[in-house]
Parts: sequence; structure tokens; C-alpha cells
Amino acid sequence: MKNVDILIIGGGAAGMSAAISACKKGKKVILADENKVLGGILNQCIHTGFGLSYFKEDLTGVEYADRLYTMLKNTDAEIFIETTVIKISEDRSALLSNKNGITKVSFKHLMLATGCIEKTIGSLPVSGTRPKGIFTAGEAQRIINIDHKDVGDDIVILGSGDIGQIMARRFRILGKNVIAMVEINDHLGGLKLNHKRCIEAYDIPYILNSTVDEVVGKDYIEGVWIKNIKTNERLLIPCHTLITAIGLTPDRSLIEDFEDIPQWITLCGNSDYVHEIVDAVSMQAEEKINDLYK
Amino acid sequence: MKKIDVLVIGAGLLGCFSARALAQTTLSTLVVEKNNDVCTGISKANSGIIYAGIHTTPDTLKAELCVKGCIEFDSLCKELDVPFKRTGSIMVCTGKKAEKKMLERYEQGIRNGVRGLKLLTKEEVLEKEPCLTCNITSGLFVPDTGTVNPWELCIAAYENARDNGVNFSFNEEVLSINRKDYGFIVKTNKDVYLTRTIANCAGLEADSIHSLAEPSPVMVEKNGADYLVFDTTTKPRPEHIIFQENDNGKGITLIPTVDGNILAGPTERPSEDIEDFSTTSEGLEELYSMLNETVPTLPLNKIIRSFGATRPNPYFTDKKDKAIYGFTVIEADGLFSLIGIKTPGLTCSKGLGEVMADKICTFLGHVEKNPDFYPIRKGINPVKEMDMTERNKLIKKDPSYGEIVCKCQEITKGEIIEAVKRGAATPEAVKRRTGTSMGRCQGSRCNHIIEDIISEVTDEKC
Repeated sequence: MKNVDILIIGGGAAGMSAAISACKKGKKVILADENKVLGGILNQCIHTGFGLSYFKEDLTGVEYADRLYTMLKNTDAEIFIETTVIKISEDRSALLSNKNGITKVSFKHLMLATGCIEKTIGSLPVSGTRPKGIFTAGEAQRIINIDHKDVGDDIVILGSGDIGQIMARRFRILGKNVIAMVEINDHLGGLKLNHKRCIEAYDIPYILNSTVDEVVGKDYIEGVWIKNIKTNERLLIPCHTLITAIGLTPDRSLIEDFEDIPQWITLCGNSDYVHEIVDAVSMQAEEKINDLYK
Repeated sequence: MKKIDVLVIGAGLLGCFSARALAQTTLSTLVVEKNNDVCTGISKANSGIIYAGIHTTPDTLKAELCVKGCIEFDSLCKELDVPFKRTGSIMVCTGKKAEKKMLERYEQGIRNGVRGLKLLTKEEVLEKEPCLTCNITSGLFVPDTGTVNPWELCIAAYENARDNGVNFSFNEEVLSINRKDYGFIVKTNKDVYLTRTIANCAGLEADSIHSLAEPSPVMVEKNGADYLVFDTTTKPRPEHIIFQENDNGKGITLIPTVDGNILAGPTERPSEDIEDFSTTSEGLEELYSMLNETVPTLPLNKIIRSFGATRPNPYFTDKKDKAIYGFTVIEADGLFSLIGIKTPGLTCSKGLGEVMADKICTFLGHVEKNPDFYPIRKGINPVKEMDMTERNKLIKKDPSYGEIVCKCQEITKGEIIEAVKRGAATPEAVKRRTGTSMGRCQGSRCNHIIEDIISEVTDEKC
């Protein structure tokens, strides 16, 4: 059993920034993360556009994570990697599971920095089959940038938020055929910066006011029916891969059993709300720690 | 040419339970399945309801097997180490015509010997299920109704049959059946068999399989159905299985599953393709609107998946307009076919397997019992449900039980390795054995890890 001032769950931008700040305040910190390497989703973001306001430099996601990790290493924070928090109890303790066993950690405060979770096609009223060849944008990004594996070619992307746009560009750089990006609104989503750097620079075709209505294909995906939500017209687009970039939800699964979130839990980063840029996450984490230890 | 006593065609619920019943004899039995795993056809997509027997016509084989099957389900699931929840069900009515139907069901249930039936007033229904809307007029409580995960049940029956000496061969498709004096010559894409009998459990294709040997007296039309799946964190949630009955017909069914999800469905529509398992826009829209009417408190943003099911509607070929209601085993001189088995096929799967084995034994005559048959099967022990001391001990013995791979469902690497060692060769097969990727991320966070574990474990074997 361990005793700390603050247990931080999640070692992405929010968790690392919070841990660094809390250590500066002289607090005893445990940071627990599921992966081998801290950084969370930043580690699969090999593109630039990170750190412009926080580090005043245009960094890749990996570099941004590395900057934070270098700072974190110089603190006294105790880091648990490849560790999953399996339970949080009312008595302000948590159970951590990893290869060495179950560890109980008692804390005065808990910070949830678990990021967000991608919505999947199952959450949409899309009919048809569920064959192989459908990936969420984040999953595809991980498969390509970290695992160096493939997700297939002749791609339709559903949703035009930042991660959809960034993946469209990534596919183009890899020489893949991006057939179309399909967006339900009458304008593309995401940041202006990404619009310029991805859609315009790489000439990504897009279809507005439309959504995927039906998936076709038995074992492997063969195509999608696109429906225009204004005219109800349907169009079959043959494809071999469907990427869904249809939104993110804060991941609070660990505290779902609490009716109301207790005072001793702070939500931080994307598990609080989905931030547009990572710099804002780091700044929010600092502020939350400052508020906590005034 | 291999000589065997029984060739079972199809490794769905009926094939696996027939195999398990045959394992209790000394007959040499082989099960061939054209897909790469058990439970990939009609058995994989259904409501998972264990019916108490209020829906079945009295004095039929169906009613007998259903009531008996339901009562014995606890002991079956104990033997096979399969989670089973006797949630009870409430048939809720929203009008006079529906109430009339309910009373018929009530009387039918009594005649079938269903235990503990109780008619409920509107207030009593709402007390049991506060999440329902108030246009309910009355209800019927059936305490014995339960729910099981059909995959887990099928896999358990398969493993138990296999451990008791039945051979299974996957990716093996029957191409031709030729009747000879002494049995059948069956050609598959892999081999040729000389078998004394055939147990045709080919699900939606059982009519075509029968037709390979001789014209099938029963053919099957297919109906499709759509379902929605809610995440395990959905609140508020129904505690019982809810069958809604409206004046204009059957309404929505809600099932709180053993895995903690809620299923909503099914719709019903014609379907042509046997292996389709696709959903339709109309079906999904219908479900969404029914949910809005019946349980507006169920949060639709907790829907994580929709799936399609296919079910058979059998009919006698010589009188096409006459649909077959009951369960029948077509007997054709050594060829035994279960064609068009539908609801409550899951409840009756053990019973139907036994009927099949009995018929085969009677046909062959002088079949001896297998003295070594052991009915107990151990499943993969869910780490999530262990107490912490036990869990810690397990991790100390094997650290992979400390590594959580599926975050949504809290499933460890150790459990996934066990599943692969038991024969799971794809992330889908691991899902059916451990429940991975059934949470809200639908595998988008862990499928790549599971793929790696599968290759690691299979590499070790080589």
C-alpha cells in the first residue's frame, strides 16, 4: 500500500503536465499509465502543429511528449508504466494492476487524465454489415505510425474533424487513394490550420451535407452508401477501407459508478472536455494543480 | 477414405450439443464446420433469451423441450461453466388487444407447467421496472425467463464434446452426399468420408444440405432482424427481460444481458441472404422510435453497436402456404436433419442435441455408453470477478494476468492467451471466448494488441 498526495491516472499531455506542476508544489505524486511509453495519443502524432503556444515552437506530437517527459523525469513523481487502474473507492484509494500484481494506492486527491475515446460506427444508425476494413481514425493512426502496419487502400473517411483531416493527409503521403471525405455539416470541421495543411495542400475530395448510410461487404468492406441529408439522394461509393472520425467523448469510465463526482476527484485534459489543441491541455493541467494547491 | 459412425454437419448450437450428446456414446463422431470457428452462423446472432415456455403451444415437442430446458438451465450452465442469469421477464401490455394476448400466454404457460407466473397491474409493473413509460395497462411476470450468451454456451458445449473425444474440423465444407447401402459417402473440400449416419445441423443451410442427399421435405425462408446494443454503463437499465405487446402486434424486447449490456430488438423483415447478418435503415429507425416510445429514459448515446440476425421460417415443400410451427427432426434412413429450428432453439439446444443422438442410437441399434464421459467443462476464469488476494496470487504465478488489454471490459492478456490456446485464431474468436472488444471502443483500442498476442501464442506452438 502506498500513500500519496495525488494520484494521477493517465500519462498523456494532461497527466504529465499535472504531475510536473504538482511536484513543483512539493506534493507526493504517483502517475499511472497503461502504456510502456508515456505520452498517450501524442506518440502516434508524427505531424507538426503542437507546442506553438506552450513551447513557442512547432513540434510534432512525439516531440511535445518528449519535452514533457524530460521535465517529468527530473521530478520526484513515481511513475507506474504498463499499469491499469481497475478500481477507485470512496475511501480515496485505488487499485492498480500490472505485471507485478495489484497495488493499493491511498491518496488525498485523484486526477483523472484519461483522455477521450473515439466514437465508433456502431454508435451511428448506419445499416448494412460490419465487415473488416473499418477503423476509427485514431486506431488507423496508431496502426500506421506506431505499429507500422497497414489499413488498406481506396479509403473513404467519414467525418472531417482534425483527426480525419490529418489522416487524409497521412494516407496521401503514403500514396494511398483517398476517395472522399464525407461530412454531415455544410462545412468542413477542424482547425483552419489543418484545413490548409491537409485538405487544400493535398487536394482531398470531400462531400458535404452527407453521411454514410449503409456499409456493403461480407468479410471485407466493398463499399459504402452515402446519403445526402438534405436531398436524401443516395450514392454507392466502392471502397476498401472506411475510416470513422466521428467524434470524441471524454473517457470517464473509471468514475462512472459515482452518482456525483466527489470533490477529491479532478478531471483534467480531454477527460474533462475535448480540447482543440494539446497546448491548452497542458495549460489547463497547470491551472488545475495551481487551484488545488493555492 | 475415413470411416466414421456419425458425421455432424455444422458447429452451431445444435451441432455442438448433438456432438456433446453423442460423446456420451462410444460412436465415432466427426463434426465438420465450413467456417473457421464454432457459432458463426444463426447461433451467433440472437436475443440470448432462455424462454420459460409461455410462448409455445402446449403438448408439442417444442413446449416439452422448452419448459424442461429452461428449468434445467442452471444445472447445464453449472456443468459447462457458462454465466446464466435468471432475470425473469415481464410481458408488458399497452392496450386491450394486447391484454387478451397476454391472458392467452398466461393460460398457455400454466398448461405448459411454467412456474411462478403472475399477472401484474400497471403499478406493479412500474414498481418492478421504473424505466418504462406509463402508457402500460398491465403485465405478466415470468420469473423463470433467463439470459445466456449464446457464444459462450456454444463454445462450452464444443469444448466439452471435444474433450470427450469428438473430433471437430473447421474450414471444411460438405460438397456432396451419396447414399449407399451401408451409409453415406460424403465429400468435403478436404476429405472423403464413409459414415453410417449424418446429423445435419447446418442451421440456415440445413435444407440445402439435406437436398444434397435427396429432395428435402422441408425448406426454409429467411427473415432478418435488427438489434441495438447498449453499453454496460447504461443507466437507468431494465432489470428484467421486457417483452412489449401492443394492440398492433409485438413491440420492442429489452434484454439485460449476462455481460451487462442491454439488447434492444428485434425487428422482423424478409431477408434473402443466409449469411447476411446485415441491418436495414428501416429496421434501425423502427428500433429508435420504439425505444423513444417505450423507454425514453434509455440514453441513445450509449448505443455501441447494431447487428443483424437471420432466422428461418420452415415450410413443407408439398404445401408451401403451411408454415411449420413445431420442432421436427427429419428422418431419412440414416440422415437426420434439424431444419428450420428457430426460437426457442437456444433454450432447447441441449434437448434437441439429445433427441438427435437418441434417434441416431435407435437407428444404429446396440450403441454402448461411453463410460469415460465427463460432463464438466471449465471456462476461462474471468479475472475481473476474482477477489484481490486471489487475483494477486494469479499474477504472481503468471504476470500476464496483471496486464489489462481490453480496457472497456477489463480483460487481461492472460485470459486472451488462454482463449488462443483453446483454439481462438482471430480477434473475433477471442471476442467470443473472453468478451474483448464488446465495450464502447468496440476493439478500436485493443484489436491490434490482440492480433499480436495471437501471433505470439501460435508462434510458440510451432
